[in-house]
Amino acid sequence: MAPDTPDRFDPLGLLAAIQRRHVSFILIGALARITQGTDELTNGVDITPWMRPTTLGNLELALADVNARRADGQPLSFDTDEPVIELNTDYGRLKIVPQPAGTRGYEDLRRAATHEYLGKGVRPQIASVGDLVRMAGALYRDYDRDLVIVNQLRHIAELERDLGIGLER
Amino acid sequence: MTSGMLIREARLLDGISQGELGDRVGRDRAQIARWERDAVQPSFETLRELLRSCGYDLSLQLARHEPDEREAEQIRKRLRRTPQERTRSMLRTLDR
Repeated sequence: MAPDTPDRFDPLGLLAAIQRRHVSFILIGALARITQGTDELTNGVDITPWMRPTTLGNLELALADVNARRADGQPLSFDTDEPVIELNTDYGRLKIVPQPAGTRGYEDLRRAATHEYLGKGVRPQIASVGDLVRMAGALYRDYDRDLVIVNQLRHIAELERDLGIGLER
Repeated sequence: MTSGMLIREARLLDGISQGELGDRVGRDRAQIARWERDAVQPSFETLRELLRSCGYDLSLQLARHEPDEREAEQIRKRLRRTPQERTRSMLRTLDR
């Protein structure tokens, strides 16, 4: 069977579809870091949804809208203790991360997250620079790359403090 | 400071030639010369072996990385953009 790999990456289209179903979520991962100012590339969207039944019901509807299917071919279900659910959609890769490394999930991230406009009507809640540092620091999958990213994030946090942009906990 | 400078400094402090250092670590003189010129970099373990064979070792500790001014200016430039502009810029780069 041919591998199921998305040939398209339209993060705004994907986020718009999730937003249309009124899903409460925080944008995390590389796309969140890029929106906060890091210099990197990504071809996927990572989110932490609010893990309450209403939100997950709405998320299921949104995932059906974008033809989401698990990257490993298994049936899609939120009734799992997997740390990351990797999906392919008609708009590109989507990772659902209920409790990102170094955090306690949606309600933890929501406190410092801010709504930011990204274009095409999309205005997600984005994890704060401080929380992105916590997540990147806790992961360290690829030491050199992650260290560069963590250093960029720390420097962004310092510059934001100097410039009086945003408030960090 | 490069690994080549460290190897050369340790070797000269020990008063031995590149050939003698090569003999101590089982490498030929040409390889020692390449390392000292920084034409190739030894692994961290090999670097320590080379320095120890001259009677020295590395004293290392983690220090907070301070971005240089050029990197800091690039970050400042990105921070002057809106999140929308940063996302758009990344997507344009992906499309190239």
